[in-house]
Amino acid sequence: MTKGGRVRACVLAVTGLLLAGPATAQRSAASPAPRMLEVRVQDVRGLLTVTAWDRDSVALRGNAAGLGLRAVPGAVHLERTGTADATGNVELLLPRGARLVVRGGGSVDATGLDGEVEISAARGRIRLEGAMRRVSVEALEGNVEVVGPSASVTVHTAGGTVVVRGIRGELDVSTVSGAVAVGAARVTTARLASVSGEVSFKGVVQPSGTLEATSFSGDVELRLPPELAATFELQAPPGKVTSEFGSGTRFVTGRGGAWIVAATQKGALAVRRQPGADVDLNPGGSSGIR
Amino acid sequence: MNDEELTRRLGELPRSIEPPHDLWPGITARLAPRRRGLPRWLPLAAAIALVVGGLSVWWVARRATPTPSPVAVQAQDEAADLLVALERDPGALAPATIAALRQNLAVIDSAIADSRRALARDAGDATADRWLRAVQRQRLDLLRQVIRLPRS
Repeated sequence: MTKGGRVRACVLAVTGLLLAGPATAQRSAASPAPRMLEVRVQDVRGLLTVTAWDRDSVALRGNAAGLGLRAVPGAVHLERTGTADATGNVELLLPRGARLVVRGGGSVDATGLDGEVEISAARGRIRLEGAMRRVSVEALEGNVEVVGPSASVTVHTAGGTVVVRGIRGELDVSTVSGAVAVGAARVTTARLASVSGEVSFKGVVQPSGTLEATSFSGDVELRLPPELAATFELQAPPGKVTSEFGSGTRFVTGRGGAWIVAATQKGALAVRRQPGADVDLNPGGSSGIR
Repeated sequence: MNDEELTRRLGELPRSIEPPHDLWPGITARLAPRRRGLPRWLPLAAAIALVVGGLSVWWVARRATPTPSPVAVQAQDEAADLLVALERDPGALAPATIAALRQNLAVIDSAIADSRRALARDAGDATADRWLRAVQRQRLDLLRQVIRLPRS
């Protein structure tokens, strides 16, 4: 292990610090943390790897020069200390159910969390994997990937591709120039919108659920279970609609419980039958759209 | 009454009878051509025609120049304000962030221009109108998002 990569661990004794109020981080001393602990990360550049562990403590490993943990009532902050430009890669370990808030900085790769995650960043790649209760990401550039049976996912970006796999609940994704690809989904409500990028969805819409997929100039592709009972509303330029469920701009399959709206003003639209749509982890793509 | 009595009474009858008063003026008045006035229904018809005509002009004008909804106007105003705020303090955002913002605003503005052209060709194009509103909303959301970004 190189000197730079040498593990420098600082484990925060959360409970005592929370009781004592603001304090500096303690090293190598783990102690129980409150269940609803919030871990707030402010402007940490480089790659931030977040790993959930089954301990009630928060720890920092990796190239943590210029970074520090600070406890405040109800939360732990990871932030830059002094004037050093902390651009190295660090790993943050935190309780599985903690609420993670990241503002600014670079890329984020989080694994194993099942609490709430909220990220607001201008640049960098964001990848979140776990059964998170709620995910909210606002990013200007960079790809965003959310994997796992999360109950609520909201992603708003300007550019970059947004990939969501395995969601079980509510989904709201909007981007300007990026593409949106959703796979293995089982949604109650889903809104997928892009201005110029491709939008694709592969999954199940619950009975009485809604799916709205739109792109102004990009293609839209939906892959849905053949037995889906839904009311469909499709809109695309003449000759650019392919539907394996019915014909026309509005039609009903089965008892029409779900509501499916798909529209593109300048692209192509395809609605296809896809057995096992909610278990195939590969998100939809441009295949089949002509 | 015998024949002699009857003859006597007939002889006493007047040779002619004058009418009790002169009916002729009333008869001549009825026979004279009436003075031709406006029909009673004409003012009502004129009023209806005016209302219908006015509504038609209003409807045609409305279709030719679609009025943006108050929500759309508010969104446009707010987007303009946010842009001004960003331009006043460009140093608060990294140059790469500003560049990305401009690039994506150009994408949105192109879609807005497309929608407006479609509405100019056909002011009643409800689909183009929906897209215009949706893309304008997305423009506003993007600007709000950038305003919320942490400053470096």
